[in-house]
Amino acid sequence: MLFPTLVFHGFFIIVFALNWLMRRAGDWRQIMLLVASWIFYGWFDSRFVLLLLGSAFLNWGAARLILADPARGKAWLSAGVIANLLILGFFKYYGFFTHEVNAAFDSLGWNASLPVIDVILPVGVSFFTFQGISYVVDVYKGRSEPARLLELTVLMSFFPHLVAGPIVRPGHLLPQLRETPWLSRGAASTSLVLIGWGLVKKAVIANELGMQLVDPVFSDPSSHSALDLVIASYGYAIQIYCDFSAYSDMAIGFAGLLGFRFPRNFDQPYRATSLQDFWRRWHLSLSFWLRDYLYIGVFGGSRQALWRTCLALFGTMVLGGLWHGASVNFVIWGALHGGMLVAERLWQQFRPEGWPRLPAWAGWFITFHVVTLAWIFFRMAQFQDATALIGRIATWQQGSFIASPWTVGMIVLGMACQFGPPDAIQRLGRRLQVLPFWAVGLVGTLLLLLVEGLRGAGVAPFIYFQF
Amino acid sequence: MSQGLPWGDSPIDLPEEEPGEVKFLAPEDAAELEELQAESDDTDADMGPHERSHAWQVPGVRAGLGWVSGGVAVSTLALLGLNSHALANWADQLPVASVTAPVVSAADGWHDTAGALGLNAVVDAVEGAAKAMRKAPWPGQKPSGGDSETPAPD
Repeated sequence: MLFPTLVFHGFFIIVFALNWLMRRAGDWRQIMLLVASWIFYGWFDSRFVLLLLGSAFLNWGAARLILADPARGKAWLSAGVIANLLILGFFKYYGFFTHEVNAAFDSLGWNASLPVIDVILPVGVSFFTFQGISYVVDVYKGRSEPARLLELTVLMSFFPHLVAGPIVRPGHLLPQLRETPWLSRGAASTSLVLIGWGLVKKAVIANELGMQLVDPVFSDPSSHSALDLVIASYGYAIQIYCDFSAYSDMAIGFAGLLGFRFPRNFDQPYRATSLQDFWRRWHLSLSFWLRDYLYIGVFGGSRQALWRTCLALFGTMVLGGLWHGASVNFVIWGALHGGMLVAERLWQQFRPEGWPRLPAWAGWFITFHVVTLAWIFFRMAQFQDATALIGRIATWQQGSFIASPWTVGMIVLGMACQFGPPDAIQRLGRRLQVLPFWAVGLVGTLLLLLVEGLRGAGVAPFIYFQF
Repeated sequence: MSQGLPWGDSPIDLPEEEPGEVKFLAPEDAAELEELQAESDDTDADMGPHERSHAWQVPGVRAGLGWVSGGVAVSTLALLGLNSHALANWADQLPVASVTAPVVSAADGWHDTAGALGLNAVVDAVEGAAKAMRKAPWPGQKPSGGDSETPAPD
């Protein structure tokens, strides 16, 4: 079920009504939200609901064992984390692994092969697995209270964040589940603004850029001019931002209307003046997850020798790249980010005294172009295709040109919203909340009619659903 | 609203609605709370026994449930009339079966009726404008026909 569809509109209205009718029903409200989340998830493939349930049971059991047997807490923690990683690994990397191993057997002339299974990637498996890992680790470290099976299942399955985040920490959501919800007019109006703005970003900007520019250019880069390739690369940077941040905005908005507060997931990332700054603005919930559970939790963080800190940074980003899927290009994407983060840290440490600091505009220019370069590897399926595209830009090849004022306008619009007031959503929310309800309904109607007319034929699935 | 997530960490948090007013407790009420706080990682523990007011106890904060429900209801009804495109598109994507046939026919019928009544005018006008904008050429560039590809400018 996709957010910007009629089916979801009907689904949400029913859940919204039941949620508030059952606001004082305690566990029954949680059960209703759980069933609704299963229906939402089962819409993609009903078999995956069992996986979701199994994953919640696994993490609940691991946490119970940690608390029941503190002497072996670390062992139970390791078992829980490994079990989560096995689930993730099987669905995301089994196909790649068997392909590579069987190819290796072939090249060695061995007559053996691993069984090839056509594994379907469950939507959002990375997100709910990370949610499960953070629960087990947080319970072990005392950062989260233990949850009942029902609570943990709701926490992991809750439909607004289920398939593409934001990754909500147990300590942030569990207390909210236990309280009687209440909705202020301010929270309701900012939630509506987030949903409306998310809809425009996804159904208009990202969709138009994808269909009119990025997909045609990236599917056949050899026939396009270097200028087209440059504009399409900028276009992809804006498309993936608008697509992904739209999902997060809408998820936060829908959760807000149900009385839940989700954390911010994007903060105008393309205004960053360094890579470190970028990762404090892009996909914040994953960025903080990687920082807390991988960079600090596994690699030791920054309170160690410089070379080990650099290794930790680089390793975290490469694994972050690999999290997206088993592909060389994702590793290169992570390595480019990791390499730049290491370079920035070394520069901070060893910058000669008296050397001028980089002006903010130059920092922004370099950061944006490094991020856009990395997106080329992220977007292309094959390493050779990505390098061929970059080669055509570097040698300024001629070819066809499909970038239009319309698509370039979309890029400018997507870029302009990076430099607007950081609290624009709250400002709009304040303006909306003074209107009477019927006027809000009419504003919403007008916006939806505009989106319906602008979005062309249908809405493509969100890019991050595949992760 | 809960304090599970620190206030301000969600984009729906408005500073003026922060449930932050601190109410200090009488000793008999404090004992129970102190036990709870001792188990939790409370950053305000040094303040002594206290609790923060709920969002709905902050002066000036208005309830939003009725307001937003009314807005959603108005919008849904208006869209049923003015956006028959979405209804028809949804119906056309249903699997072909005897159960879905009446739904498809009703949705298509309503789309035609709405068109005859002029209710589709807004979406049709925006669609037409969007098509024209997609085809608009650069200044000095010849308008393209069906094929939007043109040679790169020098």
